[in-house]
Amino acid sequence: MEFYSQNVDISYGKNKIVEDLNLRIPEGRVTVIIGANGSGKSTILKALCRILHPDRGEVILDGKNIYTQSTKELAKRIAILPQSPESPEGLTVEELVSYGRSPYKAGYGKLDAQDKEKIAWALRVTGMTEFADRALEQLSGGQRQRAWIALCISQDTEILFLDEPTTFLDIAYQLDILKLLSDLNQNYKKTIVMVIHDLNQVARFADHVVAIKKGKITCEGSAEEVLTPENLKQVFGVLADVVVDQRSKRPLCIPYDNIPSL
Amino acid sequence: MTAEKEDYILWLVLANFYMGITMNTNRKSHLWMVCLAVLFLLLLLLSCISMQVGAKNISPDAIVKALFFYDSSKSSQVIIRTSRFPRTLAAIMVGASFSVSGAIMQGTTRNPMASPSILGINAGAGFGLALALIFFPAASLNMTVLCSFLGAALSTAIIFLVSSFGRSNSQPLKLALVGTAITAMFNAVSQALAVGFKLSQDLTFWNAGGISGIRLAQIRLLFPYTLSGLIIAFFMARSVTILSLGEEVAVGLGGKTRQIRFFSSLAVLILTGSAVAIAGPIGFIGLVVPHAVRALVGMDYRKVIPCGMLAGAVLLLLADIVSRLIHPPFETPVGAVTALIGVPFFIGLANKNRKRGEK
Amino acid sequence: MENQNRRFRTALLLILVLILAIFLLSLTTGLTPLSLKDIFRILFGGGKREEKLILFHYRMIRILVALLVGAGLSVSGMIFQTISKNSLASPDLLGVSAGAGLSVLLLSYFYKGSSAFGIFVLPLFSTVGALAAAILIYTLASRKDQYLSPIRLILMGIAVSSGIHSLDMIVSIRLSPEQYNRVNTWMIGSVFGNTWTHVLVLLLWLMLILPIIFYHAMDLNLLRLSDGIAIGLGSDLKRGRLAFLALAVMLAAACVSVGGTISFVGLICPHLARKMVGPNHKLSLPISALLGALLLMSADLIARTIIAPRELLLGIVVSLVGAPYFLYILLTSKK
Repeated sequence: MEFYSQNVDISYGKNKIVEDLNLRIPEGRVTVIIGANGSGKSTILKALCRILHPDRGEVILDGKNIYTQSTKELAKRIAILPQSPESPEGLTVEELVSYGRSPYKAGYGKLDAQDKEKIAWALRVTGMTEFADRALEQLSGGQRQRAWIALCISQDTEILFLDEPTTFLDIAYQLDILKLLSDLNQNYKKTIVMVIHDLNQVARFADHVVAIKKGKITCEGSAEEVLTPENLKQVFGVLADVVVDQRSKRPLCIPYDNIPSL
Repeated sequence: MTAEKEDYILWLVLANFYMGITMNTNRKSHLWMVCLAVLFLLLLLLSCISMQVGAKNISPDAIVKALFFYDSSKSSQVIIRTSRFPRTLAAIMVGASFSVSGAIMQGTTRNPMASPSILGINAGAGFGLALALIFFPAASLNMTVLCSFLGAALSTAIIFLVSSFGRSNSQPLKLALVGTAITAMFNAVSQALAVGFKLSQDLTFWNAGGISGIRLAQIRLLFPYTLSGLIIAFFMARSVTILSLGEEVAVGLGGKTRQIRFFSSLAVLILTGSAVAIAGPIGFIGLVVPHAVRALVGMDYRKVIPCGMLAGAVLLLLADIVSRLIHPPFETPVGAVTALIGVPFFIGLANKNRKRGEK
Repeated sequence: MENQNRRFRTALLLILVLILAIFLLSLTTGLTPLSLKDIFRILFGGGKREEKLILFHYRMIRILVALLVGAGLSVSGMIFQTISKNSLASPDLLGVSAGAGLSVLLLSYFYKGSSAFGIFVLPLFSTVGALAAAILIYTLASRKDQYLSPIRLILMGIAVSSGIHSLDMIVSIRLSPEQYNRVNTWMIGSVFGNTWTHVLVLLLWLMLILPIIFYHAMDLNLLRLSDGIAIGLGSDLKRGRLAFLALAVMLAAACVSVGGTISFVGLICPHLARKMVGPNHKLSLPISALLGALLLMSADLIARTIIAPRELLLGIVVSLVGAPYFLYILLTSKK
């Protein structure tokens, strides 16, 4: 699989949000996009997964521009979990997860044995089997997020995009979701691209980190390469110590002050 | 007599302003006095025009005579006394009432769509009035007004219940939808009754918003209601400003939100009920005017309410004059004229909200 | 999902039985009571001339029209609520009722001739008006390079319908009282005065459109989710919304042109259906259609019998039933 963007420009009205973005997503890895609020990281994520169409430029998946392809065909290869998705009242987890099979169905879309197997598998991997008959609004925040992830993986795609999948969850659920994603990456070879805020979680779970400032890539590479005091200063405008976490041997960021604004 | 009362209101406005002046010294504080003065002059000017023009144009000389040295043998003076003068007053009262209640509603619900017509309060008042027309056809005007109040109260109560149950006053869309549904509901029932009792076209006439057939006696009767509604509104102005900052902020600033909501609903009720009883549910004044006024004088309701009052009066006077001139000697319903101004405005407002929502 | 399917089967059975029962009851009830035995005798070719006239001409036509109009309006309401992602959205905001109403008013204003229109003049006019208003709303709500926003759709619906209502006022106070009453009766909604041709045209129309909608129930499911999720699942938002809205408008326009602007059916039946079988359109669409048919047929029965020998207008009965239920929805809705 080859996935990259080429000279992408995006603007809202007259404001240019993203300029001349050239980003390559490594196959089979967890890529995390970081950046300050309003840096354009969510916008980039949306453009990469075709929710937003850029003013200029292309996003290429295996030699073909995704914006000119049928969105249904792409849905077999790319799954998306946006920020705080909403569901109609009364929809059960299993029904929701069954929607994940729709890219493979034409018209009425009666589920066959293979679909049912995939649905059961998605529920099992995310640990949602016992909640299959519950309505989404009856679940806790963490369970609900697992249900949405189950929807995305029942879609059976090689690439998974997630926009801040851990926001609004408490720390135990955050860890839980990230471990689930890491498991999907390692055991099922899914390429994952996401936006996360917590730098220490980025350090622990990301194989590839892309730092964005004002719509441009400031630096990218492994967590060790990107999460340095110098880069944090440049990207977030904070002064931070970076030490090595004794347990995971990954970098640990400890911000201690803002850079005084000029 | 009425000029005195007009003065009295102005005095109230000024008093309220001086009471609050210590709290704000921003750049716009002079502008709003200018606005107030300009609006007042416009109001006087339009009142004169409103007395003059119509199916028959009448000289200023005859107007002065009609008002102060009435001679009932002169037809032009009779027209002034029985038709033009009352409808001018009615336009002022009704315009002021609708726009002040719109301003209060937008302030307390923090919802740019809030206004008597969009939230279905007009339809409720209309429903009450339909009941009155049907079941007490010979009833006194007082009775009719009471019914219209009760109808307005009913829809206000529904809105209030719905919005406070949800505890989310920042959902413009939901309130607007609830309002449309309430309007549909009351209209359906009123219409049903009207068809059943064979007075549907009467009701339509009244629904179209008419101040053309108004009599002085009606105005005399309803003036105390309007005045008391406006007085409550003026006293609530500061609280409305506080509440417009949000429920939590209001509590933090020591506002008694329950009390504020109660009194502002009361003001809305009285103003809308009496205005609908005079003129029928004229739409869009309560939506358009507060927005325009806030754009001029800022978010402080101690300024918005007085300016809104005058601006509403000016707008409805203007609409009434236009409605007479579109297709003389026939009168176009004034509600249709305000809708012609209001609908494009509403569309613009929706576009603006959209932009803000994206950020 | 077994749970949902079981509920679906129960609901389906229950409603079908009710529809059949009310249908037979409606056939037997009226100024000239007919027993069930009479009905079957007449159906299978027996019966006197007057009996045949009563059964086939008076009763059967209006019952069938109520049935079809109810199903159509209800499905159209379901689509609108799904596209606008709001279960409180009244399908009246599609502009169909308002547009049809205004065009019929204008027709009566300019057509000063004798009392009755040709049987297809009115439906044709109201359809044209309905489509024009719907297109206006859609054009105002959609923007270049953006997916049609549900919120804008609702807001523009509110704006345009209130604009049209004020135009209504200008026209309606110029009508003569008889003209006015005739238009008003139509606007409130009544299934009386149609012919077999109307029934057949409406039936064909529904048989053409409803299967398309049911067949694409899954696409409708996706459109109800957040934009990002729907795109991720391969839904073409722009085309999907436009296509479903067009289908909803075509359904509603046909129903309104035959039955008048009956409100509340399209608002409450979809809601009730979702309450019974959940929001999955594969289940809720058929239930909603049947509920609409049941509601209008029962309302018609009530309208004919409650103050017999006089008749209430169908639309009034629906409003009197629908309004309280809607209030209940409002007061219990969580969001």
